[in-house]
This record gives sequence, C-alpha cells and structure tokens, in this order.
Amino acid sequence: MIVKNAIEDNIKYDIVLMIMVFGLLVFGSVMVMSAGSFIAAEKFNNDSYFTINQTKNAMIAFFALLAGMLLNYKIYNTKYLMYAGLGLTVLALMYLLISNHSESVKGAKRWIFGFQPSEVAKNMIVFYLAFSLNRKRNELKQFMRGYVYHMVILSSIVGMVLLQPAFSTSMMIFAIGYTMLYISGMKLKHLMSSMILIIPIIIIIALIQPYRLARVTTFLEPEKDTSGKGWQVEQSLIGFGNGGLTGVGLGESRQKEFYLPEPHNDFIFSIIGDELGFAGTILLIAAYVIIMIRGMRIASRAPDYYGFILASGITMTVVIYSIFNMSITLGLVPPTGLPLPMVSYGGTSLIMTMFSMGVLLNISYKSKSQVPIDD
Amino acid sequence: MVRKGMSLKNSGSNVERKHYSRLIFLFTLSMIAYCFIALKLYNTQITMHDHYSKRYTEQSKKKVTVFAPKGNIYDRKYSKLAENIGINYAFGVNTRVVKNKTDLARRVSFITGREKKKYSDILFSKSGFVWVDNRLTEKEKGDIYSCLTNEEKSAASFKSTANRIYPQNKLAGQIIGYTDIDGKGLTGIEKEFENQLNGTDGWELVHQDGRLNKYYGTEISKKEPVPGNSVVLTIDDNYQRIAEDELAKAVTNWSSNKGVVVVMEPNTGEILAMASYPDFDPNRPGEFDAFNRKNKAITDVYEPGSTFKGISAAILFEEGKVEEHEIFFCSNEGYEIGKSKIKDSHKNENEYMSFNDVIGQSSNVGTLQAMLRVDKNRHFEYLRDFGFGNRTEIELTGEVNGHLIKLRDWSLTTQPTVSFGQGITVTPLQLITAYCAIANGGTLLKPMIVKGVIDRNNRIVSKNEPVKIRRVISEKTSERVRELLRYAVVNGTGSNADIEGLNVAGKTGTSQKVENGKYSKTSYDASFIGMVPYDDPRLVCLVMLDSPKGCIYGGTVSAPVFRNIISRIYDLDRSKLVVNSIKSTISVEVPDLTGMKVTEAEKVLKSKNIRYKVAKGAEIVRSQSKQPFSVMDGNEQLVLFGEETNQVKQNILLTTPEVMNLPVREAVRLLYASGIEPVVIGSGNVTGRSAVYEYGEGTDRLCSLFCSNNYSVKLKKRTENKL
Repeated sequence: MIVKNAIEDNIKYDIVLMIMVFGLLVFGSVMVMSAGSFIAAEKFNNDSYFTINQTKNAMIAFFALLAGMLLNYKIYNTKYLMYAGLGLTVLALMYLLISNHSESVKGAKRWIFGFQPSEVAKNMIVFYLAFSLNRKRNELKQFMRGYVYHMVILSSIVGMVLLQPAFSTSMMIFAIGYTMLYISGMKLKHLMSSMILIIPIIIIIALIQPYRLARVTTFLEPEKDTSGKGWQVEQSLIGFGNGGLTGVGLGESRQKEFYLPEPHNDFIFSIIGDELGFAGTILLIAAYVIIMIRGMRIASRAPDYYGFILASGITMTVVIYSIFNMSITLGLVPPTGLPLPMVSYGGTSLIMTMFSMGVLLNISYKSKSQVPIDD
Repeated sequence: MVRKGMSLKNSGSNVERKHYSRLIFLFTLSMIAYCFIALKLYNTQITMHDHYSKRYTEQSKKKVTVFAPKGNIYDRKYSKLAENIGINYAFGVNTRVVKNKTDLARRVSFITGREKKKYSDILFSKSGFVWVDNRLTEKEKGDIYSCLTNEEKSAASFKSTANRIYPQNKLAGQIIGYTDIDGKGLTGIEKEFENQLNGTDGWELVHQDGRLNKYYGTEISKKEPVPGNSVVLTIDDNYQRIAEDELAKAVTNWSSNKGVVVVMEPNTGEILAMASYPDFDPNRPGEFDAFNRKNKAITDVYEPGSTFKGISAAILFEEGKVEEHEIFFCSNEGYEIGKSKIKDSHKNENEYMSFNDVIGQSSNVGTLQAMLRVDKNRHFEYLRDFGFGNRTEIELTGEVNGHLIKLRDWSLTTQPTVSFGQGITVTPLQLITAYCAIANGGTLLKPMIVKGVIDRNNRIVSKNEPVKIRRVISEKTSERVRELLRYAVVNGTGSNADIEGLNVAGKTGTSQKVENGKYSKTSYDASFIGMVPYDDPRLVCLVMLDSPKGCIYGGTVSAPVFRNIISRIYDLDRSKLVVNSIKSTISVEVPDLTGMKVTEAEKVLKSKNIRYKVAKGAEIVRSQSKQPFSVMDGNEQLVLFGEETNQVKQNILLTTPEVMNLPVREAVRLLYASGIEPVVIGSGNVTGRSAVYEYGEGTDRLCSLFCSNNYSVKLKKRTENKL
C-alpha cells in the first residue's frame, strides 16, 4: 500500500516536465563535455576541467531540484523569507557594484563566493514579484499601488544589475518581470504607457557604452567586422550550417577550436547544431516548447493565484532565456552573453534554474486537477 | 489538449480568465519566436549547408609554407660558414598595445633566458610593431604565448623562421653578410647569392584552429620544398682567422680607427682572406653598428700613399722611362710645381738617390720627377688599366668606385701627386688587385670571392674560373717591379715585413688623411702591401690601419702585421709558399665527377694526373671520396663510388671515420670526406654520433653529431625533414 501510495504520489508530479528537465540536465552535461574540452585543454591544461565542474554543478542542481520539488511552494510566499532573499540579493549586487566601480580592472567582476548574484537576481525577482503581486492582487489595477509599485521594485533590481555592468542579464530580468506584470493582470494601458518611456532609456543605455553600440552596428553590418562580434556570429552560423541534417557527430565539431568564443557556454547551441545537426537543434527546441507547454499548463492549473504567477514566471524565465540565446547564436539579435538554460556551462544559472524547475514541479503536484476529488 | 487545459474555467479560483488569455498570448508569441528560430535553423542547416560546410572546411585548413632549407656557405675547404639548423620562431608585438613594456620584457626574458635589457630596448625602440625575438624554440613560443595578457595576445604575432646560424661566429662575417628574420639576405654573399641559396619553398595543408594555431602532423596534403644550393667561397677559414686575429691585435694595439687586411692568390685572383676591423657577428647583427658590419675592404676608400709608388714604378718601367740605377736628386728643399712645393715626408740623408732607393726610401720628390717623364694620357690610361676608379665587380655588396680624377680635370699637380698616391682614392681591394697584376706577371684578374655553387648532393651547379681582364704590364716589367719591391723590403722602409727564408717584396705607405678638405697633420693611414715569395708570388697581402696612435708609419705599424700574417700562414700551410719543389704534385683541385660515366671520369682524372680507384662494379660515378673544389695532395687517392650495391654501401659504412672527441669542424670535414653529411647539434667537441641514415635515392647519407654545447634544436624534426 505504501508503495502504491508512493507511486500515486509521484504520478501527481508532471512526469513529462520531469523527464524533459532531467533529459536536458544530462544532455547539457554531455554537450559541455564535448564543447568545452578543447578550450579547457588549452586554457587549463585539463580537457575535462569544464566537465568536472559542470558535473559537480549538475549534482548540486539535482539536489536543488529535489529541494524545490519537495518543499511546499507556498513557503516562498512568506514576507520575511522574501524580504531576506531580496535583501541579500540587493546586498550582493551592491557589493559587486561598489567593488567593480572602485577598482579599475577592465571588464566587470560578476562573481561572489563562486556565485553570480545577477543570475540569482534573475530567479529572485520571479519569486519576489510572485509574492508581491499575490499580496497586492486586489490593487493591481491601480496605477500607483499596483503598476508603479512593482515597476519600481523591478527597475531597481534591473538598474543594479545593469550597473554591474551586466546589460544583457538586466534586460532579461526586465523582460521576465515585465512578463509577470503582464500575466498578473495589470491594465494594458498602464503597461503600454510606460513602454514609451522605457524603450528610449534602453536605447540610450545601449549607446552610452561604445562597445555595446559596436555590437549593434556589427549586428547591422556584419561583413564590416571580420574579427570581432560579427565574426562570432558568422562562425556560429558556419557551425550550424556545417552540421546539416544530422550533424558531424558528437565531439566532432571544430568550431569549438577557438572559432567560437565560449563554445561551452553562450554558443553551445551552435556546437549542438554542428555536432547533432538540424535534427538535434529541432529536438532541443521541441524540448523547450514542451517545457513551456507543461509550465503553462501547470500555471493554469495552479491551486491559487500565487502558484499561477510563480509558475508562469518560472516558465517564462526558461522560455525567454532559451529564445534569446538561440536567436543570438543564429544572429537574429545582437550578440551578448546569455546562457542556454539547463544546457550551458555555468553553476549559478544551472542550480537556480533547476531549483525553479523543482518549484514548478511542486506546483504541478499541488495542481487542482491532480488533487483527488474526495480529498 | 493544452489549450483545453488552459482554457478550463476554474471556478472557485481567484485566477481570472483574463490571465489565461494573457498566458495564451505569451504562448503564441513564444511559439512564433521558436518557429522563427526553427525556420532560421532550417535555412542555415539545410538550405545553406553546402555554403557553410565549404567555409567550415576552408577555414580549418591552412596552407603553410614549408621553408626550403637554405643552402650553406662554405669556405674553400668545406668548413661551414653559414648553415641552417631546424626552424626557429619569431615573436613580435605591437608596442602601442603593450601597457607594461618592462614587465613584458621581464616575462619574455624569463622564458628565453636572454637579457631583459635587450628586450626592453627593442620594446621601447619604437611605437608600432616590432619583432622582439626571432630565435625561439617551439616550446619557448608556446610559453611566451601563454604568458601574454589577452590584450597583448591580440597584438602579438608569431612566425616560423629559418634558423640561420653562422657556426664560426665573427669569422668572415662581413663577407658572408647576414639575413633578416625572413631569411632574406641583406648584405654580402647572403644577398649576392640569395637566389642560389634560397630553395623553392614547399607547402603543407594543415589543420588550423580559430586563433590560427596550426596543428602539424595533421597534413592533408603537402609539397616538399626544394633545398637551396650552397656557395663555396674562395676564403680559407684558417687564413681568414689569422688575418682577423692579427688585424684585431694591431688595431687595438695602435688604437686605430679601423683596419683592413686582404690576402689574395695572385695567379687566380682568389681572395683567401678579407678582414676588416671592427667586425661583427652575423648571428647577432642588430647588436653591432653599421660601421662594424661594413666590409671595409670594398666599401671604404683611402689615399694609398706610398704603396702606390709600386704602381708608378710599374708604369715607369713599362714605358721605359727609368732605370733602376738612375740617380735622382731628391732635394730636402722639395720640388716646386707652380706655386706649390712638394717635400718628402722625412729628410733624406743622401739627396742623390738611385731609383731603387727612391722607392726603397719612399721619396715623393724622386718618384714625381720620374713620373713627370710619362705623358699624362699614358699615365691615366695605365691607372685605368690597373682598375683604379672602377669597381672590381667582386660578387659582394656595397663596393665603391674610388676616385680617379678625370683626365681633363688633371691640374699641374695631379700627375706628380698621384705618382706617390695622393689625390687618388682606392679601395683596399682595388689596390691589392692591381698588385696581383704585378705579382702574376702583368695580367689584371677579376678578384674572386666565390669558387662555385654546389647543389645539395654536392654536384657542381656553377663554377667560377679566373677572369683575366687585360694585360697591363709585361712579364719583364712585372719581374723588375717585384725586384724593386724586394729591394724596398731588404734595403728600405719595408724591412719590418721581411721573413727569413720567404723573400718578401712589398711597399709601405703612410698617407695623410683628408679631414675637412685638408690634409690632416695628425691622422694618417698606415699601410703595407706585399707579396711572397717575390720571384713567384703565391700570396699578396695588404694591411691598412686607419689613424694609428703613437706611430704613423706603415713600415712600423702595418709591415709587422703583414709579417705575422704571412708567417702564420706559412706555419700552417707550407705547401702554399714553398714553390720551388715539384709543382705538379701539389694542390690538385678535385674535379666534379658525379654523374659521369666511369670511363669519362677516368679520362678527366688521367688528364689531371690524379691517382684514383674505382669501386667495384661502378658504371656511373655517384659519389667521390673528396668534394669537388677541394684540394688534394698529389699522393692522395680519389675513390669513385658507382651505383650503390649493398657491398659498396657496406664498404662505405665501414669507412665511417671515428669522430668522437674531435672538434666539430674536424669531424664534419672527416665525415664529408667519406660521403656522409653530418647534422651538427651544438658546437664544441663531438660527444656522440648517431647511426648513418640513408635518404634520397640511397645515395645520400646522413648522420647526427652531438656536441658538447648543445643548442636546443630538435634533432628529430630536422632528421625527419631530411628523410
């Protein structure tokens, strides 16, 4: 009986999502091994440097997933936990902000104790907004107490990440938060009105830093730039194109031999395209689509408004990241550094995404349709 | 199904229907994005597959030039003066990008073990791209790359260069010249014979990564390079060493500005030694001044002074204007020409002198009086015929004309002053070439620096024969002048040059240097030119020192240098100077017989009176026991090897000489003599020898010599190249 109950209990989790998540976790580790070995050998004299790290991360991520699955998602809907979480995130961001701007080191420092606060912020904002939107759900239609209030919270986090500087991540956080505000049911009028203000600001920010402008211009005229960002995209496309229908085979891509920057991270999708071909890339897209469908299904069946918002936010995080990463590697948007969720190398991102997926599964477990009628 | 799930009306929930529709809107939006990505993927991966896959293949392959091994430069006895050992790498960087140049110099110096200051000097020398070091091994190249910062990496450049080394360092450096890091000859033989020395580069198609690093050993296809030919000089490295050594001593001793020594073989015009000081090491040309690098025997002119009286005497004898015992009044008051008065440089004890003494005591007044008897036109023609005012056309870079005043510009004083070597400038080589004509019986020969060119299998590609330009004076005149010059050594100013038993003939010279358009009262060129033995000269030697301090006279400063050089050459190589004994048995030049039929080869050898032996079963000569151009003793035997049978091979292998602990040059020569090409690793004494490898058509044999001071050279690489 206990066994039967356990099985029934398990069945309550969204099994399709679970398979997809596990599948991507394993697939990602394999691809990191394939894509990163060359660079790891060149940089660290150890071709399994990234593989070992990523396996460690994947194990931690697995436990994070379990934790997310097993803990009732409603505990995140607590005032003190959320304040503390947001507070710590803000502190970590502030710390990096100050240290980045006090030292004259070129390029931004993005790590603190092996963690990337900007990656944490990306997930934290989902949880916090879900909490906050749920708490103020009756005032959401009000301009000040609903819309402006949440926009201020969102913008301040985005602003801090932006000042890291981590332009692309900040834009992603903004997109995710904005999506959540949209889903929450705020008035379209409110949402649209501020866009008129926000878009020019984004453009100005993009233009302030000359290298960002350069990226945009190379994006517009890729042939003018043979060695920089345009080259990256070109190389990424060569990788995809060479793969053809079925690819050159796992581990066989040459694009990871310094032709692509970060082949194990930002451009891992191109390596997948080269090694596994169109078949591989389409299946990967399918995996993300299934995750999106299952995520939205879980959201729509969530037992309460909080669960709905949280599940939507988590799902949209994965969706938005995957869409942008893939578009970057295909040269559809200007190149910036974004990981492919659950596949790319990178501990913080992987662990946080997996935890979120666990929470999503937990919501699916609490799903109304799954709850026995007589319960 | 999903949509159905989402559109379910959830009664009792506080999630409004609007939210679902917004979720559906986002879903639709995302699906559009995913579809767009999928379409783009289809376009890239399926439609444009061929296009990208072509680019993929192209960019990962790289045609890499395989440098053809440059030919060697040998002295007349096959001592290597220049050779290539393996491949080096050069590291260059754009200094504008390097933030901390001192630190970069420190890092590079740490890796290469060479001086840090040298690197920082280079890095600070100019703003822009500089080559920092061009003698890196493959490992050092890798280490340097990994020690660079990312910024530096982007501005850094590496390339492979031929590792041209000059095993005898400074020896004959100004003759050999040097190359730039691409192996392009810049001066000397390296430049003049660049086309011969350079082979035809081959190529290799290798795998390449995105940083343009090449992965060797992954050749997709390749074309072997054609090695360059080698140049054999007329220089004898021992003579050259003696000349350089004695010259350096003299220049230092007399605190002279510079000095030149040339030793020539008067009967062929071959230059046996040509030294000028200060000198330089072609292995490190950048560390020396341009002045050191110049071959001052051909690039610098001077007024020959009294050494020119030998030429004047030759003209006077040839024209029959003077007799040896004719008396000249050489007044200590001087000789008036127009407004000017020409005096002798020192007071004559006896103002009445025979012509012998005029030359012997080097009297300007006496010489000019005699010379005034010669028609100006004739005088000029003779000077022209002796080659003054024209380049000798020696196969070296940087030769100058010297200045012989045009006949129509000759003033009243020109003829008299030119007679004792003022008002004319010559290069040391021009003067010694003219003296060679006096020494060899009156024929002006083109000075020769290159004996010939041989290919990699030691077959003659081209051979230089002595070039007779013209007869300038008669045999008889030549003899008279030589006797006169002998008199000048025995009874005159050149007494310091005499060597017991060797019958030196020669003439001293002390000429005031022209400074700021006037004759200097303090700086002189002290020179001596002589030949030995006077009755059948085998060597002519010129010594010139610029501005010696303490003493200015050629007889005191330069004549002893001449004496030291000739005595040392005599000690080393008596056969060169002992001429009276059976001429026919000495110094037979070995002809190139490779490729000939044995019967033809025998004819050649018989005609040259060379003793020979033909290996059993040979029909065509494939190799010979002594190199072409090398000189063999009449008693030696030349062995001809034919088509190689196993037996012959074995015989040759058995004759591999014992080379352990020998100086490397000795060992190389021995191995060459037995037909084995040694690959020298290091310098100093031989500490080991590899087995003899065979390559090519089985006719070429190769072995490696390991020496006490090893350069870090990859033997394997080199051996593989050859095999």
